Amino acid sequence: MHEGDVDLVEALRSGDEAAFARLVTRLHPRLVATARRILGSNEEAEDAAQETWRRVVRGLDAFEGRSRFDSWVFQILVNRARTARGAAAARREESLAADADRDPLDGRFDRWMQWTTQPGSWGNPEEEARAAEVLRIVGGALDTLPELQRLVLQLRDVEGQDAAETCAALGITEANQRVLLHRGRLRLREAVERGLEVAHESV
Amino acid sequence: MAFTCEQVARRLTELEEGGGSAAARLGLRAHLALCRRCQRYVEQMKHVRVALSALREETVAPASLERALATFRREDR
Repeated sequence: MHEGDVDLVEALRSGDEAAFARLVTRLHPRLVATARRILGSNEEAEDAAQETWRRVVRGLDAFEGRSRFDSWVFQILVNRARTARGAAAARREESLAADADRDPLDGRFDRWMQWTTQPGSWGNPEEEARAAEVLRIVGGALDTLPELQRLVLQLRDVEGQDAAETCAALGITEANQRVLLHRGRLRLREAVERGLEVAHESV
Repeated sequence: MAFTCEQVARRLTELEEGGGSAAARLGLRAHLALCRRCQRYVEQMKHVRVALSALREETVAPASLERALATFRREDR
C-alpha cells in the first residue's frame, strides 16, 4: 500500500467517522464532477458518487493498495457511472466518437512543416472579459469531446491528478493517456480559436 | 535536434510531460526561442489548461456529506 494511504485506510477500517467525513469532503465534489462528464445530469452524477461511497465502505477490507486509494475510488466511480449510463448509450457514444481520431493538426502545416494558418490571436486571455469567454468556450466544448478524451482532461487538467493516477482510474496505458490528453487539449484550443472568431492571419 | 513547427505542435504535450529525449526537449526550446507562431500556440495550449483548472469544484453540499455519512454508519460493521 502507498505510504500516504496507510493511515487513512487504517482509520476507515476502524470506523473513524471523522476520517471518512474528511475523505468525502475532499473527494466528493471531484467524483460528482467526473460522473457528470459521463452521465450529463447532476442528479445521476450525485447518485453515482453516493453509490461509489457505499462500495468504498464495503470494499475497505478487500482494498489491497495496488493503486493509490484515490485512484481506486475514482476507478469505482467511473465504472459505476458507465454502468448507469448503459451499454446502449455507450455504443451511441462510440459512433459519435467516430471522428475521435481526426487529428486537429492535420492541414495546418505546409510541406516545409510550417504553419499554413498562423494560430489566431486570442487578444489578451489574462484580461478578465476575455478569460471569462475562454472559460465559457472551454467548459462547453469539453462535453463535446469523445468520452475518454473528456475524462482524461477532467482528471488531469480539471482535477489536477497526475498521469499515473489518471491511468489507474481509467484503466488505460500511459502512452494512450498522453495521446488523449494532447488530442483533447488541441480540440479545446481549436474550439476557442473558432469561438473567438479570430481571423487567421495569413502567413 | 532542429524542430519544425509541425513537430513542436505534435510533440508539445509529450515533451511537457517529460517524454522524449533531452535533445528533443532542447530542440523544442530552441525552436520556441525563435518562432513567434509556435510561441503563440504554446501559450494558447497553456490558456486551455488554465481554463480547465478553473472548472474545478471544491465544495461538498452538506446534504451530500450527510448522505455519505449515513452510508458509512449503516455499512460499516
